[in-house]
Amino acid sequence: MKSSLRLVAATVTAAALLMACGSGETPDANGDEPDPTSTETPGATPGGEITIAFGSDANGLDKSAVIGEESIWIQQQLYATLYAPTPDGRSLQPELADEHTLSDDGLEWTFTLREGLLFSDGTPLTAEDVKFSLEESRDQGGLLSFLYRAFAEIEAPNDRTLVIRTEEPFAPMLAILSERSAGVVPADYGGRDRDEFYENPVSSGPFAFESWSRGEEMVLVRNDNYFDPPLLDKVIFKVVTDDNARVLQLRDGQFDMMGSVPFSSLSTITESEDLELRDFPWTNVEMIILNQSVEAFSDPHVRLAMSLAIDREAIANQIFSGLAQPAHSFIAGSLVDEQPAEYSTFDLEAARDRLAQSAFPDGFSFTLNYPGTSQTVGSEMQAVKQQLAQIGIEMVLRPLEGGGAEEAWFSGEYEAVYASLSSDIPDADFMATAFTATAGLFSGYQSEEAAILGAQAASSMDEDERQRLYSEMLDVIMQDMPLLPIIEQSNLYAHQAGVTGFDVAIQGQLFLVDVSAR
Amino acid sequence: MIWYMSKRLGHTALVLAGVAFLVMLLLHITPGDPAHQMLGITATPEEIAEFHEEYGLNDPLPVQFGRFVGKTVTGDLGTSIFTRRPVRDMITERFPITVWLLVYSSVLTALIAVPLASIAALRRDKPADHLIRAIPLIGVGMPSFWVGIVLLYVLALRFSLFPAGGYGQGATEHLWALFLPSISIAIGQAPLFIRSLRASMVEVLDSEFVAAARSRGVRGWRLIMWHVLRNAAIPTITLFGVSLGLLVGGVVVIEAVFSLPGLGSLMLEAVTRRDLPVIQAVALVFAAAVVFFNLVTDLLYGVIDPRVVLR
Repeated sequence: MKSSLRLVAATVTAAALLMACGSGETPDANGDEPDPTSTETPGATPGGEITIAFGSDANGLDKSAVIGEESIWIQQQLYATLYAPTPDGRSLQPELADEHTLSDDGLEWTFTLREGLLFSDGTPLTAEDVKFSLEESRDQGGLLSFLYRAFAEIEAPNDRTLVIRTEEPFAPMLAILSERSAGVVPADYGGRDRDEFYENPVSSGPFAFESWSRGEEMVLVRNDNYFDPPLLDKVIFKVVTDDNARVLQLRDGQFDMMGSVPFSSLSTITESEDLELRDFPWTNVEMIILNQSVEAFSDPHVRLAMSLAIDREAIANQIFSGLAQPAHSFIAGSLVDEQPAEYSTFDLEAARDRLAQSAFPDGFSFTLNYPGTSQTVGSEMQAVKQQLAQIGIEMVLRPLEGGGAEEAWFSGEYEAVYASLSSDIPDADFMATAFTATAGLFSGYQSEEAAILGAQAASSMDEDERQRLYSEMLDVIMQDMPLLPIIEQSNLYAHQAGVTGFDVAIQGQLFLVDVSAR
Repeated sequence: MIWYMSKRLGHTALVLAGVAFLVMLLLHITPGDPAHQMLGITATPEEIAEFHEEYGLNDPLPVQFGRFVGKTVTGDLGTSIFTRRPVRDMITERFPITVWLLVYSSVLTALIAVPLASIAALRRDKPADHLIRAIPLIGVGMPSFWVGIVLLYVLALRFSLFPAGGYGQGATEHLWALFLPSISIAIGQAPLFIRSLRASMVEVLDSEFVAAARSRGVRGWRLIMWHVLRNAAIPTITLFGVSLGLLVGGVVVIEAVFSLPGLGSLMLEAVTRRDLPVIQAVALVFAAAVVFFNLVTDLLYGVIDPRVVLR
């Protein structure tokens, strides 16, 4: 009798222990089931704070009017979106939305919001707020009017339902709804004036705004009303403008994490046992755009010869310490899987042959504008210059200050110009449509065929078909080589070894919900 | 005095107007359009035109200038294209940091220069004099940002004696946080002051009234403080006024190294982004500062040397 009681007790205890350790996830503070998208590290303790250092301060908290990378990354912690990119960037996961349906004609999207959503101040978050927030972006103008061009009508028939109508089927819808400007703020800014609201905003995202000492640091605190509250109590975004100082301060433990890691200081980080260097895939592509109105560049043989003469692997290894990959088009490999690599794979012999077939067999000289303030870009362009010299082409380097280089580029008053572009949405549509809208990124290149393929890809709802169409579009364009793709940089962060749960999406969004510094 | 001050104020207004116009002219002919920065690469020509319209960039220069002057005299320094905040708020936020830096570095410069110059002058041509004149020249040769980075590395990071950047809250924290940046500036400035002050002190030490004081038994520090300094100071004060004026623009580099959000870094950011209203307003503030420092030095002459009459 006693022994069987003991057996039962032991079994019950064992079962209880097994159940507790079984799943790595426990119900969260609200008592709801854990979010299937949350990837909590088992054993990560809630609480604590981390400090993240960037090279510049945010410019403001207005999600539609303010631009600048740091501004975007910080705002993404404050304003949640209907959908969010998955960390691997391959797809989108629901954030504020629970699910969505698409009408048969593909023109009407119906979104259902999660139940019980609240802003950081406790007021309910309804579809009316989402409608208001999307209309704020759509009516802003500039880049946003381009992104939201398909949003014909937005309606909120009830508190948890949002309807968006488009005039043509629009595949990038969810991707655009994951973009920073699609973040949700209270309708009518909760009765406040727009500028006043954005000085001290109410948050719908994982963190809420606490304070901002401009140029120094911004403090965000956990938003307990977010449906998947973060582990951390507090996140502090600090500004350290000087690259060297930032690296040294990280090494000496003055903060937990830093972004904008300069390539020249990689060894300081990799040699330190207490620091970890993380490289995340990114939608960034660095390229040289060729002005088609320059005589030499009007010959496709010349353009192809130049592309074949560039040894992208060597640049990735020597200048970026392997933390970059060769680019094969103007859309990152993370967005379009199959790239037309044959036109941009290093082959010096083939390059020489091509040039021999062109109208300039003995080479020629041209001027490249590039931002003179970046050391890395300078080295990169030096490397390209040396490589082109091997086939008799002289690239004269012309470092310009930011505004000047850009102005020349947009107005077409350049021969060749360096450009670095990233997509803000995890979808190839942005770059594809921008390319067509800007006549080949201001190179003067036009292709009816490519434009049609891009438009088809934008309106097809089949992911595989879209990938196929984008690959075809890139092939059509890159066989003419209107621009020379060079490199796709990785997005670098460095942090103390004890920081866990940190991830970054391919368009640069920081995932801080699961971060723990303990 | 009233007449003198009103004349100076009149001059000031002219100088500021001239600077404002020159800055506007230069910005106008410099390539770079804030419209593209703000609106992105997909901006259509219509959107760009609308942007220019909104910010009054299409109006002829005299009209833009008139508008700028009109708003400035009422205290409205415009709205930043980039942050959409009133420029006056942005300047007020950053102004104290730069002022602290300028005052603190001047005080440190004086604390270094006056004793060293005095020792050098009193022990003229002796080893101490040569050492004092030669060694600080190293300070002039080294670029201030390099000095700043070295001090940052050694004193802030290695030995944690000072914070590695930032401004701190409250006066005591400011004194501590701004020490390294200020001393970096002082190291570059002090040598010139030492030389100038020493040279005029030597001249004064040779004069008859000093010989008379010496014969009465006045020596060393008392001699310097009560008799020599006031007479020797004037050329150095001129130097001080000029170098403060130059420093106003020169703090950009130090602010960058030590992550100090002051007016220098504001100007740098604004120029990079072609944030025209901010550039114009900050240039005006810099010009006003230079004029103000010159005024202060002229008034100081009157204070130090009773023979000087301000006219």
